[in-house]
Amino acid sequence: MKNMDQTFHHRLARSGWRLFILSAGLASAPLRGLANLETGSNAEGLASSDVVLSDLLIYLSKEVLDREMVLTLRRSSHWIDYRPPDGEFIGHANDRYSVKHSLRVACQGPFGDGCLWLAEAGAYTGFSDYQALWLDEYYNQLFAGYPGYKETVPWGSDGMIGLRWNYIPDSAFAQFVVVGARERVSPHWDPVISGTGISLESSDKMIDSFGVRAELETLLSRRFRSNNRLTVLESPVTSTRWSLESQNNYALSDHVVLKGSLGGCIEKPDFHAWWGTAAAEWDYRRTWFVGAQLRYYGDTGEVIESNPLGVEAPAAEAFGIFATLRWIGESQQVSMGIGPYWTRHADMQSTSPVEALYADRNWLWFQAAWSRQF
Amino acid sequence: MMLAFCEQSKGLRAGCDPAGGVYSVTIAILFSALVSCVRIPAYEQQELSRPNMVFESQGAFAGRPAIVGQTEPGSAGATGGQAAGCTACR
Repeated sequence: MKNMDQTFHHRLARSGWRLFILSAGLASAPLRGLANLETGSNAEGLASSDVVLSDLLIYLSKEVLDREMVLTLRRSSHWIDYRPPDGEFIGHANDRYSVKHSLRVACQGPFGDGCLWLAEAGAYTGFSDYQALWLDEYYNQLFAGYPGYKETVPWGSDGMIGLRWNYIPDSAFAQFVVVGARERVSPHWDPVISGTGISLESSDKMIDSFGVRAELETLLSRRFRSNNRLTVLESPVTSTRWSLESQNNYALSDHVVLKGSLGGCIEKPDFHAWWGTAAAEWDYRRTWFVGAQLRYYGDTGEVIESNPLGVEAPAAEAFGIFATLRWIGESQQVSMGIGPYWTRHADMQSTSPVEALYADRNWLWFQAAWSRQF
Repeated sequence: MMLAFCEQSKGLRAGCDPAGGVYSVTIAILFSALVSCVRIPAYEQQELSRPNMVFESQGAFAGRPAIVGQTEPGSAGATGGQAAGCTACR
Protein backbone atom coordinates (compact mmCIF):
# COMPACT_ATOMS: atom_id res chain seq x y z
CA MET A 1 0.00 0.00 0.00
CA LYS A 2 2.77 2.38 0.95
CA ASN A 3 4.66 1.51 -2.22
CA MET A 4 1.55 2.08 -4.30
CA ASP A 5 1.02 5.44 -2.63
CA GLN A 6 4.59 6.41 -3.39
CA THR A 7 4.21 5.29 -7.00
CA PHE A 8 1.06 7.34 -7.38
CA HIS A 9 2.49 10.46 -5.84
CA HIS A 10 5.63 10.03 -7.89
CA ARG A 11 3.54 9.91 -11.07
CA LEU A 12 1.51 12.91 -9.98
CA ALA A 13 4.61 14.92 -9.20
CA ARG A 14 6.22 13.91 -12.49
CA SER A 15 3.15 15.04 -14.46
CA GLY A 16 3.10 18.32 -12.58
CA TRP A 17 6.75 18.94 -13.31
CA ARG A 18 6.27 18.23 -17.01
CA LEU A 19 3.46 20.73 -17.21
CA PHE A 20 5.42 23.28 -15.19
CA ILE A 21 8.47 22.96 -17.46
CA LEU A 22 6.29 23.29 -20.56
CA SER A 23 4.56 26.36 -19.13
CA ALA A 24 7.81 27.97 -18.05
CA GLY A 25 9.21 27.33 -21.51
CA LEU A 26 6.26 29.10 -23.11
CA ALA A 27 6.48 31.93 -20.61
CA SER A 28 10.09 32.67 -21.41
CA ALA A 29 10.05 31.83 -25.10
CA PRO A 30 10.79 34.76 -27.43
CA LEU A 31 7.49 34.50 -29.29
CA ARG A 32 7.42 38.12 -30.43
CA GLY A 33 6.18 37.19 -33.89
CA LEU A 34 3.04 35.59 -32.51
CA ALA A 35 0.84 38.59 -31.93
CA ASN A 36 -2.64 38.02 -30.48
CA LEU A 37 -1.59 34.74 -28.93
CA GLU A 38 -2.60 33.72 -25.44
CA THR A 39 -1.41 30.64 -23.65
CA GLY A 40 -2.00 29.32 -20.18
CA SER A 41 -2.07 26.30 -17.97
CA ASN A 42 -4.13 25.19 -15.03
CA ALA A 43 -3.37 22.51 -12.45
CA GLU A 44 -6.09 21.46 -10.04
CA GLY A 45 -6.28 18.72 -7.43
CA LEU A 46 -8.78 17.25 -5.01
CA ALA A 47 -7.43 14.85 -2.42
CA SER A 48 -9.03 12.73 0.30
CA SER A 49 -7.67 9.77 2.26
CA ASP A 50 -8.77 7.19 -0.34
CA VAL A 51 -9.36 9.16 -3.55
CA VAL A 52 -6.97 11.61 -5.23
CA LEU A 53 -7.91 13.49 -8.39
CA SER A 54 -5.84 15.81 -10.53
CA ASP A 55 -6.51 17.84 -13.63
CA LEU A 56 -3.77 19.45 -15.70
CA LEU A 57 -4.50 21.47 -18.81
CA ILE A 58 -2.69 23.73 -21.19
CA TYR A 59 -4.36 25.93 -23.78
CA LEU A 60 -3.34 28.09 -26.71
CA SER A 61 -5.59 30.80 -28.06
CA LYS A 62 -4.79 32.58 -31.31
CA GLU A 63 -6.62 35.38 -33.07
CA VAL A 64 -6.21 35.59 -36.83
CA LEU A 65 -8.08 38.39 -38.59
CA ASP A 66 -11.54 38.27 -37.01
CA ARG A 67 -11.39 34.61 -36.04
CA GLU A 68 -10.26 33.10 -32.78
CA MET A 69 -9.16 29.54 -32.19
CA VAL A 70 -8.51 27.83 -28.85
CA LEU A 71 -6.69 24.52 -28.53
CA THR A 72 -6.85 22.74 -25.16
CA LEU A 73 -4.93 19.67 -24.07
CA ARG A 74 -5.94 18.07 -20.81
CA ARG A 75 -4.70 15.28 -18.59
CA SER A 76 -6.92 14.13 -15.74
CA SER A 77 -5.88 11.43 -13.31
CA HIS A 78 -7.88 9.41 -10.78
CA TRP A 79 -6.44 7.31 -8.01
CA ILE A 80 -8.61 5.19 -5.75
CA ASP A 81 -7.77 3.03 -2.77
CA TYR A 82 -10.37 0.38 -3.61
CA ARG A 83 -11.84 -1.73 -0.81
CA PRO A 84 -14.34 -4.49 -1.63
CA PRO A 85 -17.83 -4.09 -0.14
CA ASP A 86 -18.42 -5.66 3.27
CA GLY A 87 -19.79 -9.17 2.95
CA GLU A 88 -18.41 -9.77 -0.54
CA PHE A 89 -16.61 -13.09 -0.67
CA ILE A 90 -14.95 -12.20 -3.94
CA GLY A 91 -12.69 -9.21 -4.21
CA HIS A 92 -9.62 -7.71 -2.68
CA ALA A 93 -8.15 -4.32 -1.85
CA ASN A 94 -6.51 -2.69 -4.81
CA ASP A 95 -5.02 0.66 -5.81
CA ARG A 96 -6.33 1.78 -9.19
CA TYR A 97 -4.78 4.60 -11.12
CA SER A 98 -6.23 5.83 -14.37
CA VAL A 99 -5.50 8.73 -16.70
CA LYS A 100 -7.86 10.46 -19.06
CA HIS A 101 -6.44 12.47 -21.98
CA SER A 102 -8.53 14.93 -23.91
CA LEU A 103 -8.15 17.38 -26.74
CA ARG A 104 -10.50 20.23 -27.66
CA VAL A 105 -10.61 22.78 -30.45
CA ALA A 106 -12.93 25.78 -30.28
CA CYS A 107 -13.37 28.43 -32.99
CA GLN A 108 -15.43 31.55 -33.40
CA GLY A 109 -15.76 34.24 -36.04
CA PRO A 110 -18.02 37.04 -37.28
CA PHE A 111 -21.38 36.18 -38.82
CA GLY A 112 -23.17 39.19 -40.23
CA ASP A 113 -23.78 42.34 -38.27
CA GLY A 114 -23.38 41.91 -34.51
CA CYS A 115 -23.26 38.10 -34.59
CA LEU A 116 -20.58 35.45 -34.06
CA TRP A 117 -20.59 31.82 -35.12
CA LEU A 118 -19.22 29.31 -32.62
CA ALA A 119 -17.94 25.80 -33.17
CA GLU A 120 -16.24 23.35 -30.85
CA ALA A 121 -15.14 19.72 -31.04
CA GLY A 122 -13.38 17.45 -28.61
CA ALA A 123 -12.41 13.88 -27.87
CA TYR A 124 -11.11 11.98 -24.87
CA THR A 125 -10.03 8.55 -23.82
CA GLY A 126 -10.13 7.20 -20.26
CA PHE A 127 -12.48 7.20 -17.29
CA SER A 128 -14.21 10.54 -16.82
CA ASP A 129 -14.53 10.35 -13.06
CA TYR A 130 -13.46 8.27 -10.10
CA GLN A 131 -16.94 6.78 -9.64
CA ALA A 132 -16.72 5.12 -13.07
CA LEU A 133 -13.26 3.81 -12.23
CA TRP A 134 -14.47 2.44 -8.87
CA LEU A 135 -17.41 0.63 -10.48
CA ASP A 136 -15.15 -0.75 -13.19
CA GLU A 137 -12.87 -2.22 -10.52
CA TYR A 138 -15.87 -3.64 -8.67
CA TYR A 139 -17.27 -5.40 -11.76
CA ASN A 140 -13.82 -6.50 -12.85
CA GLN A 141 -13.18 -8.25 -9.53
CA LEU A 142 -16.66 -9.76 -9.49
CA PHE A 143 -17.10 -10.93 -13.07
CA ALA A 144 -13.66 -11.22 -14.74
CA GLY A 145 -13.56 -14.65 -16.33
CA TYR A 146 -17.33 -14.96 -16.74
CA PRO A 147 -18.50 -15.58 -20.30
CA GLY A 148 -19.61 -12.30 -21.86
CA TYR A 149 -17.61 -10.04 -19.56
CA LYS A 150 -15.27 -7.66 -21.32
CA GLU A 151 -13.13 -4.88 -19.96
CA THR A 152 -13.97 -1.51 -21.45
CA VAL A 153 -11.73 1.36 -22.44
CA PRO A 154 -13.98 4.42 -22.26
CA TRP A 155 -13.71 7.15 -24.88
CA GLY A 156 -15.89 9.92 -26.16
CA SER A 157 -16.19 12.70 -28.69
CA ASP A 158 -18.51 15.65 -28.94
CA GLY A 159 -19.18 18.71 -31.01
CA MET A 160 -21.23 21.85 -30.84
CA ILE A 161 -22.22 24.69 -33.11
CA GLY A 162 -23.92 27.90 -32.17
CA LEU A 163 -24.55 31.55 -32.71
CA ARG A 164 -23.97 34.56 -30.47
CA TRP A 165 -25.98 37.72 -31.04
CA ASN A 166 -24.77 40.98 -29.50
CA TYR A 167 -28.25 42.44 -29.33
CA ILE A 168 -27.08 45.47 -27.36
CA PRO A 169 -23.57 46.26 -28.64
CA ASP A 170 -20.92 46.08 -25.89
CA SER A 171 -23.60 45.48 -23.26
CA ALA A 172 -25.55 42.27 -23.86
CA PHE A 173 -25.46 39.09 -25.87
CA ALA A 174 -27.67 36.08 -26.35
CA GLN A 175 -26.16 32.76 -27.35
CA PHE A 176 -27.68 29.53 -28.57
CA VAL A 177 -25.72 26.31 -29.11
CA VAL A 178 -26.55 22.76 -30.13
CA VAL A 179 -24.46 19.95 -28.63
CA GLY A 180 -24.00 16.33 -29.64
CA ALA A 181 -21.84 13.67 -27.99
CA ARG A 182 -21.04 10.00 -28.53
CA GLU A 183 -19.36 8.07 -25.75
CA ARG A 184 -18.27 4.56 -25.03
CA VAL A 185 -18.71 4.08 -21.30
CA SER A 186 -17.84 1.42 -18.79
CA PRO A 187 -21.22 -0.34 -18.34
CA HIS A 188 -22.99 -1.83 -15.33
CA TRP A 189 -23.13 -5.62 -15.30
CA ASP A 190 -25.88 -7.89 -13.96
CA PRO A 191 -25.74 -11.68 -13.65
CA VAL A 192 -28.69 -13.54 -15.15
CA ILE A 193 -29.35 -17.11 -14.03
CA SER A 194 -30.89 -19.35 -16.68
CA GLY A 195 -31.14 -23.08 -17.41
CA THR A 196 -27.73 -23.07 -19.06
CA GLY A 197 -25.98 -21.37 -16.14
CA ILE A 198 -25.03 -17.80 -15.30
CA SER A 199 -24.65 -15.24 -18.03
CA LEU A 200 -24.02 -11.49 -17.84
CA GLU A 201 -26.07 -8.60 -19.10
CA SER A 202 -24.63 -5.12 -19.40
CA SER A 203 -26.16 -1.68 -19.66
CA ASP A 204 -25.62 0.40 -22.80
CA LYS A 205 -21.97 0.75 -23.70
CA MET A 206 -22.40 3.33 -26.44
CA ILE A 207 -24.32 6.45 -25.52
CA ASP A 208 -25.41 9.25 -27.83
CA SER A 209 -26.44 12.49 -26.17
CA PHE A 210 -27.97 15.61 -27.59
CA GLY A 211 -28.62 18.99 -26.05
CA VAL A 212 -29.22 22.68 -26.48
CA ARG A 213 -28.08 25.62 -24.40
CA ALA A 214 -29.33 29.18 -24.34
CA GLU A 215 -27.24 31.83 -22.63
CA LEU A 216 -27.84 35.47 -21.88
CA GLU A 217 -25.19 37.87 -20.58
CA THR A 218 -26.16 41.41 -19.70
CA LEU A 219 -24.88 44.52 -17.99
CA LEU A 220 -27.47 45.67 -15.48
CA SER A 221 -25.59 48.79 -14.42
CA ARG A 222 -22.09 50.24 -14.51
CA ARG A 223 -21.20 47.81 -11.72
CA PHE A 224 -23.36 44.74 -12.31
CA ARG A 225 -22.72 41.94 -14.80
CA SER A 226 -25.08 38.96 -15.06
CA ASN A 227 -24.84 35.68 -16.96
CA ASN A 228 -27.76 33.22 -17.16
CA ARG A 229 -27.94 29.91 -18.94
CA LEU A 230 -30.50 27.23 -19.59
CA THR A 231 -29.34 23.78 -20.69
CA VAL A 232 -31.52 20.91 -21.89
CA LEU A 233 -29.85 17.52 -22.39
CA GLU A 234 -31.28 14.29 -23.69
CA SER A 235 -29.59 10.90 -23.48
CA PRO A 236 -30.86 7.32 -23.68
CA VAL A 237 -29.68 6.45 -20.17
CA THR A 238 -31.46 9.35 -18.49
CA SER A 239 -34.58 11.32 -19.20
CA THR A 240 -34.41 14.95 -20.28
CA ARG A 241 -32.29 17.00 -17.91
CA TRP A 242 -33.09 20.68 -17.44
CA SER A 243 -30.44 22.90 -15.84
CA LEU A 244 -30.63 26.58 -15.07
CA GLU A 245 -27.77 28.65 -13.70
CA SER A 246 -27.33 32.34 -12.94
CA GLN A 247 -23.96 33.96 -12.23
CA ASN A 248 -23.74 37.55 -11.06
CA ASN A 249 -20.76 39.83 -10.39
CA TYR A 250 -21.13 43.15 -8.61
CA ALA A 251 -18.40 45.75 -8.08
CA LEU A 252 -19.23 46.89 -4.57
CA SER A 253 -16.48 49.51 -4.45
CA ASP A 254 -13.33 50.44 -6.31
CA HIS A 255 -11.51 47.49 -4.79
CA VAL A 256 -14.17 44.95 -3.79
CA VAL A 257 -16.13 42.62 -6.05
CA LEU A 258 -18.97 40.38 -4.84
CA LYS A 259 -19.87 37.28 -6.81
CA GLY A 260 -22.84 34.98 -6.48
CA SER A 261 -24.25 32.10 -8.46
CA LEU A 262 -27.31 29.89 -8.15
CA GLY A 263 -28.17 26.82 -10.14
CA GLY A 264 -30.67 24.00 -10.25
CA CYS A 265 -31.24 20.84 -12.24
CA ILE A 266 -34.28 18.61 -12.70
CA GLU A 267 -34.40 15.19 -14.30
CA LYS A 268 -37.40 12.87 -14.32
CA PRO A 269 -38.53 10.87 -12.50
CA ASP A 270 -37.05 12.24 -9.33
CA PHE A 271 -33.54 13.65 -9.59
CA HIS A 272 -33.19 17.23 -8.37
CA ALA A 273 -29.97 19.14 -7.69
CA TRP A 274 -29.27 22.68 -6.51
CA TRP A 275 -26.10 24.60 -5.87
CA GLY A 276 -24.80 28.07 -5.14
CA THR A 277 -21.63 30.03 -4.53
CA ALA A 278 -20.90 33.29 -2.76
CA ALA A 279 -17.54 34.99 -3.13
CA ALA A 280 -15.84 38.25 -2.30
CA GLU A 281 -12.59 39.50 -3.80
CA TRP A 282 -10.50 42.46 -2.72
CA ASP A 283 -7.75 43.93 -4.85
CA TYR A 284 -4.67 45.97 -4.12
CA ARG A 285 -4.03 48.45 -6.93
CA ARG A 286 -5.75 46.13 -9.39
CA THR A 287 -2.61 43.97 -9.29
CA TRP A 288 -3.10 41.62 -6.36
CA PHE A 289 -6.48 39.99 -5.75
CA VAL A 290 -7.36 38.15 -2.55
CA GLY A 291 -10.64 36.24 -2.45
CA ALA A 292 -12.75 33.79 -0.51
CA GLN A 293 -15.51 31.59 -1.89
CA LEU A 294 -18.20 29.47 -0.24
CA ARG A 295 -19.82 26.70 -2.23
CA TYR A 296 -22.79 24.48 -1.49
CA TYR A 297 -24.30 21.62 -3.52
CA GLY A 298 -27.16 19.23 -2.80
CA ASP A 299 -29.10 16.60 -4.72
CA THR A 300 -31.78 13.98 -4.12
CA GLY A 301 -29.71 11.08 -5.43
CA GLU A 302 -30.44 8.65 -8.24
CA VAL A 303 -31.98 5.85 -6.22
CA ILE A 304 -35.44 5.22 -7.66
CA GLU A 305 -36.35 1.85 -6.21
CA SER A 306 -34.96 0.28 -3.10
CA ASN A 307 -32.60 -2.39 -4.38
CA PRO A 308 -30.18 -3.95 -1.89
CA LEU A 309 -27.69 -4.57 -4.69
CA GLY A 310 -28.25 -1.33 -6.61
CA VAL A 311 -25.28 0.87 -7.50
CA GLU A 312 -27.15 4.17 -7.87
CA ALA A 313 -25.86 7.21 -6.00
CA PRO A 314 -27.70 8.21 -2.80
CA ALA A 315 -28.66 11.79 -1.93
CA ALA A 316 -25.58 13.96 -1.56
CA GLU A 317 -24.42 17.27 -0.17
CA ALA A 318 -21.13 19.11 -0.60
CA PHE A 319 -19.71 22.20 1.01
CA GLY A 320 -16.45 24.04 0.31
CA ILE A 321 -14.51 27.09 1.47
CA PHE A 322 -11.87 28.24 -0.97
CA ALA A 323 -9.25 30.97 -0.67
CA THR A 324 -7.63 32.43 -3.78
CA LEU A 325 -4.70 34.72 -4.50
CA ARG A 326 -4.25 36.15 -7.99
CA TRP A 327 -1.72 38.47 -9.55
CA ILE A 328 -2.01 40.29 -12.82
CA GLY A 329 0.99 41.80 -14.60
CA GLU A 330 1.37 43.57 -17.89
CA SER A 331 1.00 40.43 -19.96
CA GLN A 332 0.81 37.59 -17.44
CA GLN A 333 -1.63 36.38 -14.81
CA VAL A 334 -1.06 33.92 -12.01
CA SER A 335 -3.52 32.40 -9.58
CA MET A 336 -3.34 30.03 -6.61
CA GLY A 337 -6.12 28.58 -4.50
CA ILE A 338 -6.63 26.18 -1.64
CA GLY A 339 -9.42 25.12 0.67
CA PRO A 340 -11.29 22.29 2.39
CA TYR A 341 -14.23 20.60 0.70
CA TRP A 342 -16.62 18.10 2.27
CA THR A 343 -18.97 15.58 0.65
CA ARG A 344 -21.72 13.82 2.59
CA HIS A 345 -24.16 11.11 1.48
CA ALA A 346 -27.42 9.76 2.83
CA ASP A 347 -27.25 6.46 4.69
CA MET A 348 -27.34 3.40 2.46
CA GLN A 349 -28.48 -0.13 3.07
CA SER A 350 -25.75 -2.18 4.69
CA THR A 351 -25.97 -4.63 1.77
CA SER A 352 -25.23 -1.93 -0.78
CA PRO A 353 -22.11 -2.73 -2.80
CA VAL A 354 -21.34 0.97 -3.28
CA GLU A 355 -21.30 2.03 0.35
CA ALA A 356 -17.54 2.62 0.17
CA LEU A 357 -17.82 4.51 -3.11
CA TYR A 358 -20.36 6.92 -1.65
CA ALA A 359 -18.71 7.24 1.75
CA ASP A 360 -18.48 10.67 3.36
CA ARG A 361 -15.16 12.29 2.53
CA ASN A 362 -13.13 15.29 3.65
CA TRP A 363 -11.14 16.69 0.75
CA LEU A 364 -8.45 19.27 0.17
CA TRP A 365 -8.81 21.31 -3.00
CA PHE A 366 -5.82 23.12 -4.49
CA GLN A 367 -5.17 24.92 -7.71
CA ALA A 368 -2.51 26.88 -9.60
CA ALA A 369 -3.08 28.66 -12.92
CA TRP A 370 -1.05 30.84 -15.17
CA SER A 371 -1.66 32.64 -18.47
CA ARG A 372 0.27 34.97 -20.74
CA GLN A 373 -0.79 37.22 -23.61
CA PHE A 374 1.65 37.97 -26.43
CA MET B 1 -25.93 18.99 10.38
CA MET B 2 -25.42 18.46 6.68
CA LEU B 3 -26.43 14.86 6.98
CA ALA B 4 -29.78 15.95 8.30
CA PHE B 5 -30.67 17.03 4.81
CA CYS B 6 -29.76 13.65 3.37
CA GLU B 7 -31.95 11.88 5.84
CA GLN B 8 -34.82 14.12 4.89
CA SER B 9 -34.26 13.85 1.18
CA LYS B 10 -37.22 11.59 0.69
CA GLY B 11 -39.32 14.21 2.41
CA LEU B 12 -38.01 16.78 -0.01
CA ARG B 13 -39.56 14.97 -2.88
CA ALA B 14 -42.90 15.11 -1.19
CA GLY B 15 -42.99 18.81 -0.49
CA CYS B 16 -40.38 21.50 0.03
CA ASP B 17 -37.90 21.30 -2.78
CA PRO B 18 -34.75 23.46 -2.66
CA ALA B 19 -34.38 23.02 -6.41
CA GLY B 20 -37.75 24.73 -6.86
CA GLY B 21 -36.59 27.67 -4.72
CA VAL B 22 -33.34 27.93 -6.63
CA TYR B 23 -35.26 27.89 -9.91
CA SER B 24 -37.60 30.64 -8.72
CA VAL B 25 -34.72 32.90 -7.70
CA THR B 26 -32.80 32.15 -10.89
CA ILE B 27 -35.82 32.86 -13.07
CA ALA B 28 -36.36 36.12 -11.18
CA ILE B 29 -32.75 37.14 -11.85
CA LEU B 30 -33.07 36.08 -15.49
CA PHE B 31 -36.26 38.12 -15.85
CA SER B 32 -34.64 41.17 -14.27
CA ALA B 33 -31.67 40.71 -16.60
CA LEU B 34 -34.00 40.75 -19.58
CA VAL B 35 -36.04 43.78 -18.61
CA SER B 36 -33.42 45.94 -16.97
CA CYS B 37 -30.52 45.49 -19.34
CA VAL B 38 -29.19 48.87 -20.43
CA ARG B 39 -26.64 49.99 -22.96
CA ILE B 40 -23.50 51.15 -21.20
CA PRO B 41 -20.94 52.89 -23.41
CA ALA B 42 -17.52 51.26 -23.49
CA TYR B 43 -15.90 54.29 -21.81
CA GLU B 44 -18.16 53.77 -18.78
CA GLN B 45 -17.31 50.10 -18.36
CA GLN B 46 -14.13 50.47 -16.29
CA GLU B 47 -15.63 48.61 -13.33
CA LEU B 48 -17.24 45.96 -15.54
CA SER B 49 -14.04 45.16 -17.40
CA ARG B 50 -11.95 44.38 -14.33
CA PRO B 51 -10.44 40.92 -14.74
CA ASN B 52 -12.44 39.55 -11.82
CA MET B 53 -15.74 40.96 -13.15
CA VAL B 54 -15.61 38.99 -16.39
CA PHE B 55 -16.93 35.41 -16.62
CA GLU B 56 -13.84 33.49 -17.69
CA SER B 57 -13.98 29.76 -18.33
CA GLN B 58 -10.22 29.21 -18.14
CA GLY B 59 -7.05 30.99 -17.15
CA ALA B 60 -6.03 32.61 -13.88
CA PHE B 61 -9.39 34.33 -13.43
CA ALA B 62 -11.64 31.34 -14.09
CA GLY B 63 -14.59 31.53 -11.76
CA ARG B 64 -15.06 28.14 -10.18
CA PRO B 65 -13.10 25.05 -9.11
CA ALA B 66 -13.74 22.72 -12.05
CA ILE B 67 -12.59 19.47 -10.49
CA VAL B 68 -15.25 19.45 -7.76
CA GLY B 69 -17.74 18.78 -10.57
CA GLN B 70 -16.79 15.11 -10.25
CA THR B 71 -18.50 14.98 -6.88
CA GLU B 72 -21.51 17.06 -7.99
CA PRO B 73 -23.36 15.09 -10.67
CA GLY B 74 -26.12 17.67 -11.00
CA SER B 75 -24.01 20.79 -11.42
CA ALA B 76 -21.54 19.19 -13.81
CA GLY B 77 -24.29 19.04 -16.42
CA ALA B 78 -23.29 15.50 -17.25
CA THR B 79 -24.99 14.19 -20.33
CA GLY B 80 -25.78 10.96 -18.59
CA GLY B 81 -22.68 9.50 -20.11
CA GLN B 82 -19.19 10.70 -19.42
CA ALA B 83 -18.91 13.90 -21.44
CA ALA B 84 -16.71 15.71 -18.95
CA GLY B 85 -14.62 18.35 -20.60
CA CYS B 86 -17.34 19.45 -22.95
CA THR B 87 -17.69 23.13 -22.08
CA ALA B 88 -20.87 23.36 -24.09
CA CYS B 89 -22.44 20.68 -21.89
CA ARG B 90 -21.85 22.62 -18.68
